Amino acid sequence: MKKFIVRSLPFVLVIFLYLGIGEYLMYRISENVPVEVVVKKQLASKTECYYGRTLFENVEPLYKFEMLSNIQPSIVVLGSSVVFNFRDFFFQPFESKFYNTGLMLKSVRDLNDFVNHIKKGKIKKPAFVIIGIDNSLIKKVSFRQPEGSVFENFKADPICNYKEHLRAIQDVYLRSDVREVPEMNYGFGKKGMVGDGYRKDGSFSYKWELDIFLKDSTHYEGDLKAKLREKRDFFTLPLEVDSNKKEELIKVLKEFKKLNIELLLYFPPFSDEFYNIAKEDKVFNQFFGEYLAYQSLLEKEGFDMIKFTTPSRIGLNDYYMANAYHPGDIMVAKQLLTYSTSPERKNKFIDKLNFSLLDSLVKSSNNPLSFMRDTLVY
Amino acid sequence: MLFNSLTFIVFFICVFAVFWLLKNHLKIQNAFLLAVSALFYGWWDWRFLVLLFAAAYIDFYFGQVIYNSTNQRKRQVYIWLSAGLNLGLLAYFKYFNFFIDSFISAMESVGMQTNVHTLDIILPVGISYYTFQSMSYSLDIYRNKLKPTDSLLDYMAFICFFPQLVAGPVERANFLLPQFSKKKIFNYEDASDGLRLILYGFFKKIVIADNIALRVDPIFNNPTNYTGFEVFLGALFFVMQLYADLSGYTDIARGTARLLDFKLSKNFETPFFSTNVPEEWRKWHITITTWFRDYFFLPIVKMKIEHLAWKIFTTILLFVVIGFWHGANNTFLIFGFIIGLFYIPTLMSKKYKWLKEGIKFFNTNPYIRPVSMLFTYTLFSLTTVFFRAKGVPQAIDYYKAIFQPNFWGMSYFISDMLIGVILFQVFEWFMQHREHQFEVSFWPAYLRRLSYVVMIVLILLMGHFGEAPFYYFQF
Repeated sequence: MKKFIVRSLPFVLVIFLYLGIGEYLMYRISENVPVEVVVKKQLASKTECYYGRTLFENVEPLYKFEMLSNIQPSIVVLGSSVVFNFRDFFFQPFESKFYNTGLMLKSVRDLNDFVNHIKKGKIKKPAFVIIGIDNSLIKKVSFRQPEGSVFENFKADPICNYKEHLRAIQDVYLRSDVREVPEMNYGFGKKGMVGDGYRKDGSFSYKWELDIFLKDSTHYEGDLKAKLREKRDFFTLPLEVDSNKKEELIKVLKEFKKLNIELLLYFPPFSDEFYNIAKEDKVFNQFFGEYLAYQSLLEKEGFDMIKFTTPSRIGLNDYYMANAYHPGDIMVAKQLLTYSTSPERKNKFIDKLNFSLLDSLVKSSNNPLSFMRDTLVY
Repeated sequence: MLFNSLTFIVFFICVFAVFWLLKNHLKIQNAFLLAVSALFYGWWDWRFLVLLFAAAYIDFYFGQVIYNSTNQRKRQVYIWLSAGLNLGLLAYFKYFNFFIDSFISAMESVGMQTNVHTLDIILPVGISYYTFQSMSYSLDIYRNKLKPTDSLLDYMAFICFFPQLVAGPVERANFLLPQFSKKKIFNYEDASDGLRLILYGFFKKIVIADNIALRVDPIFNNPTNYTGFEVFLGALFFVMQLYADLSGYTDIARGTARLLDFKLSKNFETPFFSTNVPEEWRKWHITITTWFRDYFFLPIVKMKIEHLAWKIFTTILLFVVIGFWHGANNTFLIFGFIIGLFYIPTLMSKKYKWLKEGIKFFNTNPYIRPVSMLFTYTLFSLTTVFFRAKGVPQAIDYYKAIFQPNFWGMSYFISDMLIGVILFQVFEWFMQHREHQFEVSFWPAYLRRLSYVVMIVLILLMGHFGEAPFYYFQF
């Protein structure tokens, strides 16, 4: 027995060696930093600090809820990734009381739970909420909608899961591009280190897309046309509006109002290139027509909103889009500025905001995609 | 508890340590094995432990009364009762809804409406295996091939023995049961071989089977999304997945048993190097095939009807029953039926000399033999589409997708697996005559140790750690 154990042990050591080296390689690119630590360090950091993993999932709901709970903001942005580019400095002087939860909430049910959490005092009541109403909220089948509410079932940080570690270690061994330690280090996770991912204010730094643009002035489309053509992801059939979800969403929005929270609905844009092609698709056209009709309905219901648009309609072009369905910083800023001066605006909270900095930044920006205010990176 | 989980690894290390601490106390060792087997099985659903113990006890009881009875008529009654109860359990948990569905369809086909409904029944994991193992105990006693044991503890430990409880190998009492009464002695060579079996079993399951499943599942779910060649390869891959999955399970089972000084039967003998389907089937899931041969087929053969048509009929019937054992679905019946058809040339060759010579030529000619192997593998794989498809229409759609106009083309996702599968089979080819395919004890020490390191690294680097259940657990 002793001989057996002694002779077997070196092979057990091979396993530990493999795991140890793998963990070390991930440590070098700060991939295996738990969300809990990321939140603490990001909040404590005086300079910009990014969070973006390559090998592990970012677990946005868990991460963003932690940040939200710590910041207890007065201005909150809710919705999917379409709201990623609402940034803290847009909202002077509430810069430090702002948080963008983009991608934390993915469904009407999640929004409803958010309201209930405010009612129960589990989330501090914000004064002003911006909600991204992208079409997936009222679509019959949403590919990204998980089972159960996001608050009922936060997905655990994969850093705490041994199977995820084994998989990630495989990647770090097999992918030399991941293994390389970048020269810059501005955050957590391989992407975060190079400035790609979530900023402290919850907004998303489209570093990768920006790099493409800076390199050869190319607009990255993001595969959306192919997705539409193949009817996958956002365009999974049936591409139909769910009337129940429409009603539920109105109810939830009214709940926000009942709580005396100032509301601004944001109907995200598409790039002109994509929208012109998509209009030719009968199924999409029918669906999107209903979505736009819903926008009109909400307007009639008295909700303040930034309506659906494309860059050309507001005097811009597709270079102002991070990709076909995500606007860049400047486009969002322009939309917000236009809204702030709109005579139809009923929102009172906007009066407390000072847009002079934003206005000057928009006027002086020399890159259509971003304000490039992340001076650490650029 | 899945073999390919961290839970099992921790579980087994504890079992191994405690088992050998108790090495001079056979009864306590057996009691310990029974307890940990119950824990292993109860990890899925503890409620089914009652079923497991009941199924086991039925045959212990009837084994005793059959052996003690001198009245042949009574013995017959007892054996029918034993078989009836075992098959009744199986029929209820596995086939009830199939029979009800079939009955409703039959009634509807003649224009009659029925008020019968299916039930919400969960299939207890491993039921097809442990009922067959316990049945063979009473059947062997009935056939005077075995003396019953007086020790209920040994018997229960034999039926519930965790390494082979849920997916075989289905052991016979005269082989495995005596091992529970034999003093356990730790043997270095056996233990080393056990570890080799475990290592190779994990490799087959986690690296080969689970990675193939990642490619094959989407193809079977949506064959029209792939080229004809990819769909064709999907069928070939699926059989490889099935083989790597179940033979991987068997290797882990045999390896863990060997570490506890138990020996379990072989279930596979490199079946893909066979030159005809009967030969391939003889080397595939051996313990189940021989179970059906001994307890179902041979009693029919003993009727001594020499007519060729009768032999063909009984052979096809055997395979239809084997197919049905796998699951309550028409697809399994068709699969079994087609496998039975492949036996016809072999059966006819006993009557027609020219056919015998022809088969011999295909099996032995050094130039034709590789072609025969490839042909057999392809034939078997294409038949197994019925085994994998959810229903007959899906199987037909799959065949149609192979012959679509867009035939050529292969994505990297498929081609990398093809290379992997070929390398795997090349390795098995060189090791085919060994006791198992990672029996490297005859290699020089440095090469042997290197092979262990390579195997460990391959598992860690290429394995799929999703803890995918073993394919045969659903049966």
